[in-house]
Amino acid sequence: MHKGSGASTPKKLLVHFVMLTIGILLVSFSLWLVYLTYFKVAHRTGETLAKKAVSRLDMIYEPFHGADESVLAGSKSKSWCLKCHEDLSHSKSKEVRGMLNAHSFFMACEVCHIAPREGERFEYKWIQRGTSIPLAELKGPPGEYGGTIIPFKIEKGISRRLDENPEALQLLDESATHENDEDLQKRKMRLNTDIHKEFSPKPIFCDECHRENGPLDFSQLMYSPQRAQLLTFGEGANVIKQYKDFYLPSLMRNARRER
Amino acid sequence: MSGHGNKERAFVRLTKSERIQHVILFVSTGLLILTGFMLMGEVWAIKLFGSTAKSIFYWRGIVHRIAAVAVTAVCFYHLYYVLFKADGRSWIRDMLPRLKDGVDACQNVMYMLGKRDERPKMDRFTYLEKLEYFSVYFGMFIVITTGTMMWTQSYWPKFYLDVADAFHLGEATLAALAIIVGHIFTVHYNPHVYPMNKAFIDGNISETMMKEEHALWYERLIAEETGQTANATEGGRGHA
Repeated sequence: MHKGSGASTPKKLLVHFVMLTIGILLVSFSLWLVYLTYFKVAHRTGETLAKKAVSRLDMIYEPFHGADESVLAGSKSKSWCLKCHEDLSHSKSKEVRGMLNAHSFFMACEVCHIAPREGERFEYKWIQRGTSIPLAELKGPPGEYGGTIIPFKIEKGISRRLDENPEALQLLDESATHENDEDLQKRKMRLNTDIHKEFSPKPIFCDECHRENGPLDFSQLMYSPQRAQLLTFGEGANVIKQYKDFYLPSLMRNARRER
Repeated sequence: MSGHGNKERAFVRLTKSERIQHVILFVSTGLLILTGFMLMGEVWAIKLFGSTAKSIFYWRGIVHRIAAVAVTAVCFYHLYYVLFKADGRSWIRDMLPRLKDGVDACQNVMYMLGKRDERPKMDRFTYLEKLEYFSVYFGMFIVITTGTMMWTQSYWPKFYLDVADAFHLGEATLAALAIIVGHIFTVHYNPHVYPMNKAFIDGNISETMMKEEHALWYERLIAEETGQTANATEGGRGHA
């Protein structure tokens, strides 16, 4: 039985056109899937995911938020706050300190440790590590963008970077050689107050940024729409919401007990 | 049976319940494929949507989960249907693989290679339909299990989530290609049914199609109709 034979009518032509269009779309989609599966070298394809999973077999007990790449990349150029507060400045809570310290390697401490007062405006930019040059785009896998998220306070239309204080850096250098200098100690105390006056000892919590309309606009921070969605609503954001009580999988707990 | 006057006689291929299950399945699966593979989308293509991309991706996740719930519900209902409903039991009985399916497959390949004059007479479900049907069971088991794991990700170690992610994506790719290349060709682009096999809408199959695609089933139903049911095997449905 072969339908569709016989004289062409406008209706038949329309059916052929629709079927041809759908067919082309479906074949294109199929070819794209084949390309994704076998040819695309990307962060997230079935093959790379499988390889990653297999490579993790010997790291089954590693922390859930294992962000080794971010930490290694970030440790090469850390925030100057860490000159006093040490590399792993978050140490109180065993459950969250790893994640917080990992964040400190790709964003300035002030991102979380400022408490904007009413009427105050901030903008956030990716700045190339060790420089003041804004990143033009985010290249490479997450955690290896080569930059740090820095908050800028906008006052009277002027954007001022909050993580720079040349005097403090100079003082730190002097401290190394003039530790017992009384004048230096006084300057340190004054500067300590100055540096921290815009800081809040109580930081904002993860889900204040990992949400829609939060202070960080992930699209404006040049994340791809997928990554921005992931950070706002997806895996990362959901984990943060669900991990407010920081439930650790029983496997991790057992692993700790065994050690 | 319908088909008085010039109208061709038709047989019931899908009951109303089966058609509803199929509609829910294909709408949900279509949405799942669309919203799932959006995550793999090329950045340049997503940037074309401009500022609306953010909202689109927000709804993407919600639609994906709603469709996932719908497809899971229909899968569980189908299990109930084939276990406890008379039509469902008849369906699964006829769907179970038999030795004849292997013979049919070999003979059909021989026919397509020109080594055999006639196609083998197939029963209510051909070997390809059975393969496709049980592939859906396999695929659904994989994607529902791994999808549930990813939905409840805070309860799983990262290693298991990576494995689940790989399986979910792999099975989704396989299923999408199987549906497009296999199923859509069979029910839409196959010259026998082009532009579509309407059985999923009206539930009927024409007598001509029955003779061509399910000759054994057709003969059995005709035998039952003409009273020669003594030797007829059980199964099959009445006529529309």
